Amino acid sequence: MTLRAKVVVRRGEFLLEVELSVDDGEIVAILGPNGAGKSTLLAALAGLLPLDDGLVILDDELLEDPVRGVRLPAASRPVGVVFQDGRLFPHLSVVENVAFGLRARGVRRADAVAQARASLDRAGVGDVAEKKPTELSGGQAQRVALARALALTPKLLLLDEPLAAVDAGARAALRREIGRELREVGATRLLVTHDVVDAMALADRLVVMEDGRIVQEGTPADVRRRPRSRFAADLVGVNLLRGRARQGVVELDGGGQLVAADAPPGYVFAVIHPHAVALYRHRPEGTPRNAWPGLVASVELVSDRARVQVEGPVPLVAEVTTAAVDELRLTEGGEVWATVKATEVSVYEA
Amino acid sequence: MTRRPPLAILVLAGLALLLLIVPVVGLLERAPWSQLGHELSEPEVRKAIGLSLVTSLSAAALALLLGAPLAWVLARVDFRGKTAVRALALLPLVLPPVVGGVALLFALGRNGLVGSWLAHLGITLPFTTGGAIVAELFVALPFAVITVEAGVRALDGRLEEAAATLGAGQWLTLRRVVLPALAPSLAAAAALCWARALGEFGATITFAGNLPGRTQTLPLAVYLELQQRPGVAILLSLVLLALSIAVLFLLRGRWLSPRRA
Repeated sequence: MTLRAKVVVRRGEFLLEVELSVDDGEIVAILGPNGAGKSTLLAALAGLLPLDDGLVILDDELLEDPVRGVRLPAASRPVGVVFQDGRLFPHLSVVENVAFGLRARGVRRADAVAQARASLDRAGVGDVAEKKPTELSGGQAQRVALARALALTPKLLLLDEPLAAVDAGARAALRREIGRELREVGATRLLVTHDVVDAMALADRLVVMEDGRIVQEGTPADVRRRPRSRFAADLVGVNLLRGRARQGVVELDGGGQLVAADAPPGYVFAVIHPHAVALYRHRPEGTPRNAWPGLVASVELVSDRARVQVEGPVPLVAEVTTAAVDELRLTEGGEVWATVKATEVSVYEA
Repeated sequence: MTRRPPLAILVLAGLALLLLIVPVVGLLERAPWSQLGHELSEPEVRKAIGLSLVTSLSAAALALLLGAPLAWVLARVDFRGKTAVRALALLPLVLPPVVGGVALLFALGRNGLVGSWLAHLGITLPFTTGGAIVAELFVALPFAVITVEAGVRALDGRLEEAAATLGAGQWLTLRRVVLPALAPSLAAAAALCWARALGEFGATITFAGNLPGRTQTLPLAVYLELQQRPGVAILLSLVLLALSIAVLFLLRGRWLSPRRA
């Protein structure tokens, strides 16, 4: 089952304009900061929000095309949605929640309840069938919400931040559980998250969105190695610089130069891992070709390492040992030199 | 942190409380407790109680049936003149009931705007039990509209979206998602409408008259008996007091704890 969609939605000043396809058997994660339009995109695909332009095709079936006046209402789409907060009906028991969709399709009560129980069992939450949603933990509620969506065997399954409302302790287990279930489902699966760990654990392909547009698509490894946006770079914890390369030297957009031996000519992104940034009190003599002065903006301790944010003509995050922090007497506002070996810079076309 | 308020505020608050307590105590003090059972079994008394129950419950049910959809429209639909419609819906709240009664008489009376047309259909409202119900409905309707509108506004529309993604059409969503979520508001509205309908005097006596067994509801009977048999008037007042307290009890979660408002 495949999804082909072009979604254009205007909401006041905000414009969502996204072209997206999800192939059979693929799990795609949409990754982006808050306000990027991820949830709006899901709502549009689910039929909860009309398109201003574009079209949605699921398995050769046209779900929506505003130009031709086609718009299948949400209730008639073979699309299941797992919402961020579960959105279980509070006055119905868990099993009635899961049976709700089946009943709406005209399945007889006894059959609907039996199917709902089976769906709950598959999700590993058969033991809470008689409880009310308010009695569930965040993780249980999400698993029930997933069971409720899957009970209808949707062709397209949309998950909106399925792990966001779950506390940190239960998250890893739920991530594994949802991952296992997603692999087993015979539907096109599209997941929205702002958490890179969730995205990389659950998805085959990432779509990075910012400000209503797609800024990057690729496998988790691609995005990790070659982020193409500030957001993606921050997610994987690397420094991202952009500039124009000529004969192994990149003139950075923000000013300053970066020497990178294998830079292709033209506009490029340069990724520098925080490990590769070395800090000095004074301008170092000798080998490093890239050395920039700056001021320490913040020092953040992470177990025995420290992440040091350096502001200057070339802003960088360096990861050094806590011993180095003491030795260099790094304090906020202090002067510092940051250096990077030309061989430690990964450069690719922008 | 609670601080002792200024003395003047305490004195005025105390006076307000007295104003509320004294009449109730006065009523209880004059109640013919020993003859209670005897008076209650009198046919006129029982007729008035029965009629009041029939008319007020009918009026409350109709107020919900008509008021809830109006509340829904006011809460969910944007249209021109919405402010005017809401003002109109709330008018009976501030209008002297006797004016409401006069208005109903000229609109629904035999020669009235709609009344003449109703008469063709063989329906007569003035001076009938049906008229008493309409009068009570008129004054109770705003309570249904206000209460249910607040409930609809507080509804979590996201649950309706979830229902839609599960294939539920509008009616199923209304029946199985919206109405259960609205139940507390509907119950509160019903209690308020019922209390208002039960106590209605001015509109009823003007539009429906004061016919024992047909339009003479409890408040009308109280007023009439006060001249002839004060004991019966007090007794009927006690019945109304007890019913009012019952309504407060029904609304306790909503009204008696301001934090949950």
